[in-house]
Amino acid sequence: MDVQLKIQLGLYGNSAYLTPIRLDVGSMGSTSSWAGSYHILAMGRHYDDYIMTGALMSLPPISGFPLAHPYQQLAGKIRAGGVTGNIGECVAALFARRYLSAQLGQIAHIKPRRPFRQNKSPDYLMNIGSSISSVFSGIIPKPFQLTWPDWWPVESKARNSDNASSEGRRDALKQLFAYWSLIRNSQSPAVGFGLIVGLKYQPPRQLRISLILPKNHPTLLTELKKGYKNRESILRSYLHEC
Amino acid sequence: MSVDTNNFIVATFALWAGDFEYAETLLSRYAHVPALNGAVESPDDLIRRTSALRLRQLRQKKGEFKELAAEHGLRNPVLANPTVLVTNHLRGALWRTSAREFDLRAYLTDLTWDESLLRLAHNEANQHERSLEPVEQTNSGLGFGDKQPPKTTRGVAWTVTGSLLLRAQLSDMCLLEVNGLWTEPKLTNSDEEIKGPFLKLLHALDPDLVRSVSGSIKQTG
Repeated sequence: MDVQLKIQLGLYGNSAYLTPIRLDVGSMGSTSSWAGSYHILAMGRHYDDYIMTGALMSLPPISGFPLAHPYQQLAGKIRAGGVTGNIGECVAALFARRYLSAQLGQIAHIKPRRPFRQNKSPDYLMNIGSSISSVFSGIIPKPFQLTWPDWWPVESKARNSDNASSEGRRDALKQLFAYWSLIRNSQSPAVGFGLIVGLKYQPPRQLRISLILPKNHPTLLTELKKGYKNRESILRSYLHEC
Repeated sequence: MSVDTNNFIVATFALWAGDFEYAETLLSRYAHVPALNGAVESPDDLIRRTSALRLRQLRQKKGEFKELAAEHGLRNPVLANPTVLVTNHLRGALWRTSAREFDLRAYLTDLTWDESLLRLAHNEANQHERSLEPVEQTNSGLGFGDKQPPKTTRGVAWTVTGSLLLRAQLSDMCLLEVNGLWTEPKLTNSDEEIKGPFLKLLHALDPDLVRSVSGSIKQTG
């Protein structure tokens, strides 16, 4: 299945399209069983049903009918969150391998996998700084004079709709804030840089890569010192198009 | 890349494969690294702390497993480790998943060897039944009409026929999963009849002499 591949500056900025990415069962199956946090025995088969063929039955929405009505299970099954979670976690690695030419040693999957605890790091750290400027050249604001860091935090998500995907990207940004907060003293030049990789799996399907860059780096650092929880909207204003 | 980063990445592959002893060996150097509770010094430092977390999680699971094994007692022991197949650049964990089914998960221990592995796997697929994508189906939907090779992805899938039918899939991350199905009417009592085809496949992907084989084939818990 070839999926439209869109790159975008921040969450709302300029965008461009790259050659569609092929998300086939084989690639998605084993990569998501490695990267995914949930224990699923046959990820490839789940991916086939959940995303490729849409084999899950569903009825059209009925106006005024309660969302969680008791007949829902008669109409089919719903997607298990753990399975879509695994799918979401793997797409960033596939993008990095194919479009950023990342070597295996440049893709570290660091998601903590601790249930019921707030994550303090994104899904991945990727040493992709040298590839960013060429792949994203069409959307990078000019002039952009900060130095690219080597290691980038990358958060990876899968959602079923446009609205859910937008929400997912905002959630992903919180993970980046958490990472920047961890490194703000020791690696301050890397604060504000990150990638968010989001797969929307309902047709028309799309993989969107959001390039997160600092717009006002000194102020971002100052504000980050005051904390990031419940202050996301303030911090976002110091990033490009967020 | 730093040694720590490569160690960590290979350890995540080993955990994926169920090659727990090796994962623990790789991660044990981080046993005294503090937990991730505050600022970190660098991305490498974050990776080290994540390694320490993975090690603690693995050891906790081992403890739980011991209790589980004790409950089963000696008459029905639950076995912890797979058969491990090792070549110069690869390690594979071979599990028995049912009476007739086997699962090999193999991964690179030398991360710089990925392009060679991908190239050799494509060669191997060309010599066997390469997995193709159907573009037409028969009316019943059970048979395929025309087929075509999948458009370019870095990974590849193929099938090796024999008493043990092997379906191999190498992913973009160079993770190799091989499902084996014993097709003879009678089950075999021989470990070698099971290991042999898997070893032959690994040897085709890593042509230098296979270094060692450890363990006997065990059923997954």
